[in-house]
Amino acid sequence: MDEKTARLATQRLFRQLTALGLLALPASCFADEPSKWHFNGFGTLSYTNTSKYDDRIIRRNVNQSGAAVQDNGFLLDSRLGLQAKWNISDRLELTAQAVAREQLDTELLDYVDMFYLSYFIDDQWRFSVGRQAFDLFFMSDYHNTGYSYAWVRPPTEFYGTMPYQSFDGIKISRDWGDFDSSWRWRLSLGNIESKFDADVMVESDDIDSTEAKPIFSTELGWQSGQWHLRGSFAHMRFKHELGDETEREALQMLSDEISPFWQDFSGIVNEFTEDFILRIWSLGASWEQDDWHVQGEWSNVDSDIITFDGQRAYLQVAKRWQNWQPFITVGYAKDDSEVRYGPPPPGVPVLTEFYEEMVNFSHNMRHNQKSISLGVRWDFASQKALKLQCDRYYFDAWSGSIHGRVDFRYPNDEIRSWCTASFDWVF
Amino acid sequence: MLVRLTLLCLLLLPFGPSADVGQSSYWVVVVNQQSGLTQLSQKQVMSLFLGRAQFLPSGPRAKTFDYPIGSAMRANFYLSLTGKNIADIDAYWARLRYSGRASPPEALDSVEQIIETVSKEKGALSYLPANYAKGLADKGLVAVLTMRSL
Repeated sequence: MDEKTARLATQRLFRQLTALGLLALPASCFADEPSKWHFNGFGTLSYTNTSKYDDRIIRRNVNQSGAAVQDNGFLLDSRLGLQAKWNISDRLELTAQAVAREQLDTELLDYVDMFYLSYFIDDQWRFSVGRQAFDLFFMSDYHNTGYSYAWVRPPTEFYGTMPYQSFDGIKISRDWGDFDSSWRWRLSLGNIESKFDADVMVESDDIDSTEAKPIFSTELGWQSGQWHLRGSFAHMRFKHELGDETEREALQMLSDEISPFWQDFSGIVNEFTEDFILRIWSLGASWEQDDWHVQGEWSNVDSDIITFDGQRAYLQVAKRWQNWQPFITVGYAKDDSEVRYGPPPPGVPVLTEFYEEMVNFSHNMRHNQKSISLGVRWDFASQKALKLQCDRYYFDAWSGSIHGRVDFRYPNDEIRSWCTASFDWVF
Repeated sequence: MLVRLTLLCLLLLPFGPSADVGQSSYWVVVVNQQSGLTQLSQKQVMSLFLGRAQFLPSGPRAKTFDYPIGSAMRANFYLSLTGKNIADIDAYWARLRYSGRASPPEALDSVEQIIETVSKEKGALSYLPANYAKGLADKGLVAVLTMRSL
């Protein structure tokens, strides 16, 4: 990552922020008009010492360019979001939300997280169509709004590995209950496209694109008194982007030639060429009593291929004293994925080398790590907060992470830490 | 790093917290006379103001009205109602609003506007400071809960 690239990334972010600022002008122009339009927004300005290490970077999620973040500490968590809501009628509502942030997808539409039409069928049922939040976890649909939670960013072990912000499709939801408790059920169906840097290397230029089509998810939530519980399940069919038909045919020919004396080779080829299914189960609980807030989530990721298979979890505890809210978070990720293909027969160095690379790649895609974060939030003014957070990560050997290294191998356990200061607000 | 953090903090100092506080000794939660309600529990009022319940116990769809963001009255009312700092309430509404799930109560500028609006809408619900507790019936309102101010 050279200075020019870093400068371009910064310019790109500021162009997006300017564009969003211009889009926000109508909000202030119409602020005093009686209207069914509502304009609101949120922002985070943050700085992290991302260049602290030459060989390891911190990223918020896999959608970010590690190199860009490493060279500019403002890019990791800074973002600006705008929301427009139009109450067309008592039963019809249009919601649009765009967020400027550092990410690999740079087309204008890639910054649009929500653009959907909701129809309220009755007092409980709602049908929505368009681009919407993909509700997998507690904070999936508001993870960009830093003001809405105590910590600087959602725990990266849990939230960082999901390459999707939203999906295009339909959502059916039902909300019901009484004054003692309320229930929420949601069903989503659609498809998702995204770019992400799965190679998790600082110097990597190997940006992957994925398309999950179709995706299906369902969520059930219950809220009563101090408790909020939720569970969800998602089923996604991923499509590999593997060049054109010629490349596919060439790979197939190679597989046909090698498989007779190395049977596992065709399985390895399929890992990287065939569609595969990813399944995610998650459970979450949140408890709020007086000034205490405790929240935890657990998820299990399971797939047909070796690179996604494991559990993630986190637990957060926060306590408020007046305008101050210190907090602690522990995060955990453990992938069970093991290479299930045997090595090639001896005597063919090129295949042996290929196999070693494949094993490295598989290890690289694991996320075996733990973390502890300590921080404090200071609500110094109405709808404005300052936060300071330090994260300490414990990376296991032979495991990758979204916080990637400059090289491809992870032979040793590592401990790394970063600190972040942020200013969050809503308007 | 430290220099940058210090600069960031200095830039933000002008946004210091407001010194004024709500003066009411208690709060009166009011509804429209035609709502069919005579009382609500604190738990019910909390559910309505936090958007967890969408309907009044008597049937009409509830519509809550609030004081401006940043006002001391609003901060004190939510502290009295939920025991929570207003920052937690604002963060809660930020979660709902920016996930597209729900919008917070509509904010009106003054007590007079609150009285006028609630008196016109059947499902309306809001709160008034103690010195507005008399003569509510004449204004088309019913007090459904009286709550000590914290």
